Amino acid sequence: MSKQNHPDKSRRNFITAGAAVATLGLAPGVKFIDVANAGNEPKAVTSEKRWGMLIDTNKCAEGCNDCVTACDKEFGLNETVDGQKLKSRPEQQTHYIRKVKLKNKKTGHTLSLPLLCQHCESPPCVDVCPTGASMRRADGIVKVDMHTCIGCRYCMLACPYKARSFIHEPIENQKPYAPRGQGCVESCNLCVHRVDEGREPACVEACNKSNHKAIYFGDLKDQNSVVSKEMKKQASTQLRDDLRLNTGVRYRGI
Amino acid sequence: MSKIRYSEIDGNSKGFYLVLVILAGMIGLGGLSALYMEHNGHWVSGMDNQIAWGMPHVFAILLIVAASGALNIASIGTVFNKHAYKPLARLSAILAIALLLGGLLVLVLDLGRPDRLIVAMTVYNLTSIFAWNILLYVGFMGIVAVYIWTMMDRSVSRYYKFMGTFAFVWRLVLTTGTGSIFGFLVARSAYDAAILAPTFIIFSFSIGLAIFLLLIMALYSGTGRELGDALVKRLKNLLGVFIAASLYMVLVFHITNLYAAEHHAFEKFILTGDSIHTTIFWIGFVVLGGLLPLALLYSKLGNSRIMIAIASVLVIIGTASYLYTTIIGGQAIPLEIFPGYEVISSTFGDAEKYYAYTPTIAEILLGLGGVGIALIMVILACKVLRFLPNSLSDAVTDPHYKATTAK
Amino acid sequence: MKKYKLLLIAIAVLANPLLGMAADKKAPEKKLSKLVDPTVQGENCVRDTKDMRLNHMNYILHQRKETTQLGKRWPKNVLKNNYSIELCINCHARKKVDNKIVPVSIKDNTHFCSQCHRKVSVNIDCFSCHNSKPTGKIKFIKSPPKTAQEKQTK
Repeated sequence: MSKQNHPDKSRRNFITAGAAVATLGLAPGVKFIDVANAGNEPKAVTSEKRWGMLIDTNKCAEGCNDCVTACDKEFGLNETVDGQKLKSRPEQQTHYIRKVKLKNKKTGHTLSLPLLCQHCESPPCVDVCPTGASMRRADGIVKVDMHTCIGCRYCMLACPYKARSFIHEPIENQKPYAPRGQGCVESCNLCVHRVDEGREPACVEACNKSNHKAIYFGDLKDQNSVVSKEMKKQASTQLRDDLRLNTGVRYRGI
Repeated sequence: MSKIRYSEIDGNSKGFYLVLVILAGMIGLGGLSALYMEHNGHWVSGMDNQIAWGMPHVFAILLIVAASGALNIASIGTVFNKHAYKPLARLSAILAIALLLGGLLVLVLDLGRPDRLIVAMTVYNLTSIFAWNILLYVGFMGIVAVYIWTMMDRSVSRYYKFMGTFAFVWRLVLTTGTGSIFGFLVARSAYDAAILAPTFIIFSFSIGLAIFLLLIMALYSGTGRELGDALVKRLKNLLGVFIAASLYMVLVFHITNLYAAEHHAFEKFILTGDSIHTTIFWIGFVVLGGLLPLALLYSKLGNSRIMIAIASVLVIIGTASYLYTTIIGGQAIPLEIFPGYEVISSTFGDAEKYYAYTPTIAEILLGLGGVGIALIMVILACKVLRFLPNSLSDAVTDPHYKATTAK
Repeated sequence: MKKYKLLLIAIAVLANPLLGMAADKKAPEKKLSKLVDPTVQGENCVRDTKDMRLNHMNYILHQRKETTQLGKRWPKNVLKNNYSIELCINCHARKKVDNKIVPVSIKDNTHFCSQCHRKVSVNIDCFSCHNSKPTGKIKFIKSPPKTAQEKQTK
């Protein structure tokens, strides 16, 4: 071959052929997208809505744990399989929502409230996630896309509310609507599977069922939604409002 | 100054193989620990949902910080034209790559899903300081590798100065990134401070130099090559400056915090609390890692190689202590979610005074595995390529040596 | 010549699945069909069966992004082009034992997915998070009636 005359020829051929192969490789991908989009494609959620909550601490009953129980049941959290004991220690177990009892340091006034992911508009957990697995949906729901979560736990350090949990042991028998697995980080996703069906989150349902009715849920951008109307009525606060995260979960009475 | 000649180390003595076997054992145990944690899940570790980052992260960040610091020796020679340091540049650069690789391995093997590393390498969220760090680490290894090439291959030696400067700037950015992993965390009282980035840089100076000093003293006595007192003295004096600087940075950090009421709880916890972190801070960092090595290096004892080695080990202990109280101590204090309120009870630990953490053997072995990887890489590199100068006697390294003897 | 060898290898690696599909569509498909328990083989799944055997991973991957990130939820009662893994599992992850149809877990060698995946040594990552067993009532969702076009092609 005339390799000496054209030292670069073989390389050039290689690059050309490589490009052709690469195109071949891409083509089917294009096809798949076309096919998947055909027909019954549902609509994506938009920022026209923003899901949020208002929690009235005056109504939240001390000692009542119904929201937490309902959440654990909904997602199958810390469930045991076949009567086996959980391997994780209590501080390693998952909490999407927890009950906290507070006392005002000056006045001595006590109150009780549920604490969960605050679904911030500028969530620190989303900012710090290296792979984008920690994400905020257009309609304001903050959650983890476990398909790309590598389990680095940086979001757990970044969250001001300790809303995130790491899955410390293998899990079986997940709910079909709420997949979760060992080695990923998880948190409250505002029951996204229910919200997308037009239902309210499990904790809200449980609170209403117990007749405390301390959690209002709805679209914060809709002026006529229950939650917007209630917020207009009385003052409400954001937890750690000094961080200017514009949380989707607000509290009344603190 | 005479011309510097480099050669591979012989590496056929019993001692050499013994060191290799020990390091291989460390790597093996580290690998097994990683498998054990991945197979069972992290419940077998001491980490939990309050202390999400534990011992592996202390080791990983220690190695990563040390890596950027180890490159300084080369930078002082190349960028600042200090001739005494030039013979050390090759070893300094390969040590930097090796330490970084060791640290990254520990970090990666502690992930919940290390099998998805490919995701971390291909999907970037560019607002994440962590994602920047991945790019910085990979870039660092590439740049320093090219830098070594410009040092070893005369045909590309005209790029030597440029690559050295580039690597120096890159390492400063890299350590800024490492410090900012914590500095950018607005939610926690222990972090959220711009000073963490320069503090990490200063710590990288001291621990990188300490590891480098230990390494050349071990390599030169092990291979029977000459290591002159002039060079050791230069390095140990520099180490003293860095130790003092690191104490200063931590002092400023705490004084600034003490000025702001919102940080009082954290300062009380670290400085005067009854947890292990207070002990580690005062005894581990301030006394063992700061004051004692300063005293050793700047007193008459500083003329003894053994004392210099002890001081270097103390610097490593001190840096590890600082990182332990920063990384784990920073998470150990509950988040202040409700200012003005006292948490009476919580179903998830908000009412605790502080969170306890006990590292398991597996976590420590994983970290030591990373140390093993770093050291074995350096030793093998010295065996197959010309990283070590034949002699580092005063005649080679001390620019004033000739002048004084010529008289 | 070395570079040409490299090129050939690259083409082989990149194009193998594609060329294999184009050149001999029946062969791999036939081999795969032998592996699967006939009780859990649908007739006409969410897409053409042959197509699904070869391309299911791409369909699933594409739709998982749409659902988790954009919030697109395909209605559960529509099978066509619905690649929800819940739906896959609900039909396929079952087998006949003593004339009863029972759920099968991925740990079982006879699980619909693992039969082929074991054979071709391809790891499935789905079930580290998703449940590999049907959780709903034990019943098959009926395949949609074939369109006229599909009948013609048969």
